[in-house]
Amino acid sequence: MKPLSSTPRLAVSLSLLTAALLVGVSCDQNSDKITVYRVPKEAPPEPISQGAAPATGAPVAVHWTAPSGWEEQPASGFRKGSFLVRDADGKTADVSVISFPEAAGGLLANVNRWRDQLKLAPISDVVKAGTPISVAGRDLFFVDLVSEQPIGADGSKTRILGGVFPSAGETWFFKMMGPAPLVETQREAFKQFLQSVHPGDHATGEEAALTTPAAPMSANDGGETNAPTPPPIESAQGGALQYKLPPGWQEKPLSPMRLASFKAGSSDGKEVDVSIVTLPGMAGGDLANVNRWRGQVKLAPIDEETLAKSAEHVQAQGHDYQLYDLASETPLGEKQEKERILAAILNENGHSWFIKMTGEEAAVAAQKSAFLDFLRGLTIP
Amino acid sequence: MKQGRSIIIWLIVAATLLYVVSPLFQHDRRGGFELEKFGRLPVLLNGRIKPLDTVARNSILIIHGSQTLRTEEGDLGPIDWLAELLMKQEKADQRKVFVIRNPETLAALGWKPDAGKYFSFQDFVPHLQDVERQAALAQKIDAQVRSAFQRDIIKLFERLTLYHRLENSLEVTGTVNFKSQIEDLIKNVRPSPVPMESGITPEALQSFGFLAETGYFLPIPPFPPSDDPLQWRKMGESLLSFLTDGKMHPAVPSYAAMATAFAANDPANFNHALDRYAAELEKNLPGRVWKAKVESVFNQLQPFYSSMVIYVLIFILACGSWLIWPQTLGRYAFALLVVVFVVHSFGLLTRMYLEGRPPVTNLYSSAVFIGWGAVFLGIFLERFFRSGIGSATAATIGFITLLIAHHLSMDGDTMEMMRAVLDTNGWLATHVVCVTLGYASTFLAGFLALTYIVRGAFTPSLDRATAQSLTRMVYGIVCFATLFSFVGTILGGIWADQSWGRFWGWDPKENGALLIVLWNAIILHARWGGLVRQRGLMVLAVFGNIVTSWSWFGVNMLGIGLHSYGFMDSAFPWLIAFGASQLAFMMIGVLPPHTWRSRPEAAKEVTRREMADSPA
Amino acid sequence: MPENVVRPFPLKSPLRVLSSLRLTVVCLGLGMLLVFLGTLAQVHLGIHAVQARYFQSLVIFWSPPGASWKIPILPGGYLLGTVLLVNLLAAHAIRFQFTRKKIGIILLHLGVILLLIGQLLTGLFARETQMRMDEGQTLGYSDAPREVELAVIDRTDPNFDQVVAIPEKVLGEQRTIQNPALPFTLKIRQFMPNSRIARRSDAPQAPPSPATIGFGTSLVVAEAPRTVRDDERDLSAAFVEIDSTQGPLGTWLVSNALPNPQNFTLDGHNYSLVMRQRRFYKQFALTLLDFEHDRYAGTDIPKNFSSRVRLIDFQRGENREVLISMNDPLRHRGYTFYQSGFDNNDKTSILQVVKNPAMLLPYIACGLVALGLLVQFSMHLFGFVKKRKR
Repeated sequence: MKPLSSTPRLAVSLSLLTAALLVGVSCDQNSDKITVYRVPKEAPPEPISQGAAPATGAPVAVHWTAPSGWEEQPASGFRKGSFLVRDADGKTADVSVISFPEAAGGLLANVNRWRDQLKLAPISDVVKAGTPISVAGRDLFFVDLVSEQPIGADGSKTRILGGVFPSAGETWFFKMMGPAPLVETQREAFKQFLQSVHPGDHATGEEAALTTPAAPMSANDGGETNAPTPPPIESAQGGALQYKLPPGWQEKPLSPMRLASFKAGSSDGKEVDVSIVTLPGMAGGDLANVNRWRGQVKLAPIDEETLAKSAEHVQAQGHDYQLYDLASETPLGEKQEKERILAAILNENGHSWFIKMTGEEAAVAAQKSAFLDFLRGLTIP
Repeated sequence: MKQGRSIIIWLIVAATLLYVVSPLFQHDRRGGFELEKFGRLPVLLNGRIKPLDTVARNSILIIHGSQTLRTEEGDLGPIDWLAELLMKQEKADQRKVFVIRNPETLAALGWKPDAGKYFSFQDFVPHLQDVERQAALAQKIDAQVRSAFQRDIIKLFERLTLYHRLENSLEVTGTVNFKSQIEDLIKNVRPSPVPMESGITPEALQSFGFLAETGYFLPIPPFPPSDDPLQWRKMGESLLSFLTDGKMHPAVPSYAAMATAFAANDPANFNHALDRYAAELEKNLPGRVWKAKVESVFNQLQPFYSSMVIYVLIFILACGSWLIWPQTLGRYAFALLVVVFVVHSFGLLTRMYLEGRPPVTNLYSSAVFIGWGAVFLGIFLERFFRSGIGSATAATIGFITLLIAHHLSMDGDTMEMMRAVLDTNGWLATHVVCVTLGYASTFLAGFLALTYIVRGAFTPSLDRATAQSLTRMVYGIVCFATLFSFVGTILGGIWADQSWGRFWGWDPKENGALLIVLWNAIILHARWGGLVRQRGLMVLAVFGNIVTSWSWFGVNMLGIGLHSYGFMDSAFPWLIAFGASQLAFMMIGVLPPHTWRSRPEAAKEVTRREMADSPA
Repeated sequence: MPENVVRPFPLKSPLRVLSSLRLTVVCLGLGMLLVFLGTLAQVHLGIHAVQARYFQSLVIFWSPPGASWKIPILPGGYLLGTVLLVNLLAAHAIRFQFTRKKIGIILLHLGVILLLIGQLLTGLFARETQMRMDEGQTLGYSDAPREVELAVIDRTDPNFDQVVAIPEKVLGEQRTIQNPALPFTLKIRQFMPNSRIARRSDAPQAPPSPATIGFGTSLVVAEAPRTVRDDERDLSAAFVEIDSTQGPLGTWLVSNALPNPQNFTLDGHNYSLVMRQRRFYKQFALTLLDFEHDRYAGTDIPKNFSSRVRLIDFQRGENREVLISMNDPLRHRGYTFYQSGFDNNDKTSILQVVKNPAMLLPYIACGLVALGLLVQFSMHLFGFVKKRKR
């Protein structure tokens, strides 16, 4: 029971160690006292990194102001901006804003692409391609091209005005394309449009703070909290479409390209397929679409004028559908049947809606009235 | 006689090994399609290059809940099902692959309770928006307080989304002739920096965008000679980049040809396209192809499944050895224990090779490793004590942990990529392995103590010698457990200090590990202080099971903290049941000695023996 | 040796009680209970409140809902740790003998003692702050993520600002503050540790604001309970009245939700009032050169985060580039900088800044414990194997 002399020594040295550490660290404490100190100047206002207001964080957006008279179209798909310019005769020119990461193949390649659209020979010297102009302290490349032959639907030459604008790792393309006389009149407006282009800035301060009452701390403990939760997987479904099914029609499994799809049988067991598809924008124009369908039933392409004549108009729930009825002249496909396409097109709110019935000719004919009923009962969101 | 015995042992060993490798000989060419070969094609998913076979197995487990889908045309295996889903979607959409057990979920979809519980994707089509809406509502509730219905509908939505994404990984669902579409594309498209202006129809462009957005895995490998995992692409991404740069990856037409041939039920062309693509991959990415092959063979062998079967066999043999032929059966059990250890180790090592990681990287692998560790220690116990106890206990733990692992694998790929802070093999190999060995040994001690209590209370077979050897085993294993859990926990602290500057943060998982250390320390101190004797030691060791299962699983169910792996609602009742059963055994352990059927302790003598053992 | 063995009721001497194994077991048991309850409580209280209440306290109190009295139910972490420490020291002083056989046990317990002391010191003296830097930004201070201060800044001098920083604790006393560096007093009319702020135009029914000047007049502030979530921070707010010898200047609203300062002029001096996360200035500065965030192929699973910073320490003449990444911190002047988070589309890096004077102790302790356990158990194991062999 006699404690060895080493153990008390151990205890003593341990307590000494503790004491030393306590003294050592307590010098550092200024815990709850008011402190006064001088710091080098900081540019007011305080940096937002101070905390509450999370920076908006979007990749640097580019902003512009459209000249008056341009009709704004909804941006969609690859288009960041889209406008329609009309003249008194109803002719239109299309203005698009597109951005691509990095240099997007180089300036020359892009100018040559535009030249190709106007059926102009490619050039090899970038200097001849256009003129650099300065916008918001950056270089913007201005291009003006006109086709040598008339290639427009109305027999006029086509003109392209373009601006190429590099910004924060992205290249922005501004382009106006349309009948040469119309585009000519819009030249100044387009330049003015280019001048309005500027990279965006963030909202700061009070406003931002107020919109986020409990500012999330994006990270505090390191470790797994570093990991952002994976973004929710996008949903499989589009907007709500309402319709009444005509008798004999059945829902088909949704295919991703279609908003809805049905089948309907005729008395002789032949089925027709009905689909509703929506695409943003003009989707290439009615003419291109109708000609594509005509191609499917082996009919020769038509021009704008014939198109306008061949369209029937169906009024339903305040919408004006253009209805095209296309039937093949000869039997087609493996089954050697005549095929028919009944298609209604609606261009509204920047979207194109295609309601289409395809199938064997007689079967489509038998279902045509049901199809028209269906159109009348269709509520487009 | 002796020779005869050893021949029997070798026969048993050989028969077992034959059983283990037997799945490799089951060749099955469904309808003439080389789907086994198709299943070996490497794709990239969740950051890891894996064979389609693994994608198929994990997806069908998530969506269907089991690896086989029973249909009127016979059972579909994972890759049969996936091939159909990828390439013949209309048929797949009619398969009753979704299982709904929750009556409220049925009601939310407008189905009657007697509608059955198996549904096809097609059945869901009119209800997709309902599911989405209900799931969105449930998502707003904090995970811990969701009702059974809310959890179920979220799961259903995730399963539907996964299904939908899988379906649109190679081609847009309903594509009629993908092969000719791609051929047209190659012929007619003029590449342009602006895809819209490459001469493609808006419909086709939109469908590529859709594929790029929706597709689940990344089937298109990098252009040779690159082997950069970051260069793998989804089908849609590859097509979109073709529109701009005009470079068509040969994998695209190959997959298109396979899809079209499969849909047209044309095995010859399917196999031809598959062979050509496989040969090309073999040339360009031999390393990846080899690993994918190893992984699909590993999948096919299912070593953990056959291990489970052998564990049951060992348990029966070892228990039998306590009743009849102790020598013979005990020896058979031990031989099988060595065999199963080899099989279990093979599975563990293959996983380590495939992942390029130390054994424990997530909850699944911790289950596999706990079983392995317990069996490893069990072999040593059995080697020294030759009483069958080591075999029986190790086999029990091996079986239970692999069963748990099996259920954990329902959540998806068990070989996940390690999140940034965990991406360090050094700490995974030391801290995590130590802590997991601590779990394994604490469980082993607990289960040995269970053997003591069960045999003592319910059978007359627990004689003094057995009881004493069990006591030594439990004591030794508890020491072992203390060593590993203590060192492991402190290593964890040092890792935390290195990574985010905090040695100890009172995080639930850290606390769990601390509880195990404290409990083992309590057992040792109580024994050294003479506060418990033989039976007391056993009762304390059984409580170790509760403590360990709490820190292994319970803390994850709190859904908080750095270490939480997600909310495992379904495991919660099992955890409670396990805890309750252990408490019941502890009660039996403290019943007065005369109620027991065995008399393992002669009070005086044992106390003295224990004193001699104790270090104090 | 036999008389050292614990007797059933060792109440004879207090030293013997203090050194008994029974006390050890009781303390360890209570420790388990504490840890278990502390884990459960995190679900509702959050990890920071639990740390303060359970682990960095002497006694844990419980009061029934709504009651004003409270009863002690469990010893807290500090108390248990101290008792265990004393128990260990006493046991070693009285019972253990320094023999070769006991060397494992002694090393092991020495390690445990160091560990306990280390945790005590860490709990008392370690400080965790954060540096949140945009790429290209230079910072000479870090801030406390869960503590605010009211800074009164005299911006008159063109070369430097003079700052009077009033910590949260002082604000919470809601009294009048007079400081020799300021020619006026600050009266803290109201301090809210957490609050909700809305535009007055959105809440026309709200009572009139105590603020008489500045943008506080157009805002409505309501007190809110402190957040328990790890991923949120409190938005503190205070109404501050400035009183000079010429009479009161007005009452301003300050909040860390409103980063813009409230400015006023007095006697030719320009002052700014701002509430911000509490700042700790360093004798050196860091510039964030670049932040990198690598992901695994085809996923959003982060693979690595790293910040390339320039460290400038004029006093020590240091100016160097450092790469701080996950599991690879920067250590300088007793501070350790860890990669902790990111924000703002990978343009902002968040570094955890820790100053822990007891940082080394766990490392030493770990070594001692591992060594001790290894020595002890391998002696057991060899003894056992030898016995079996015979």
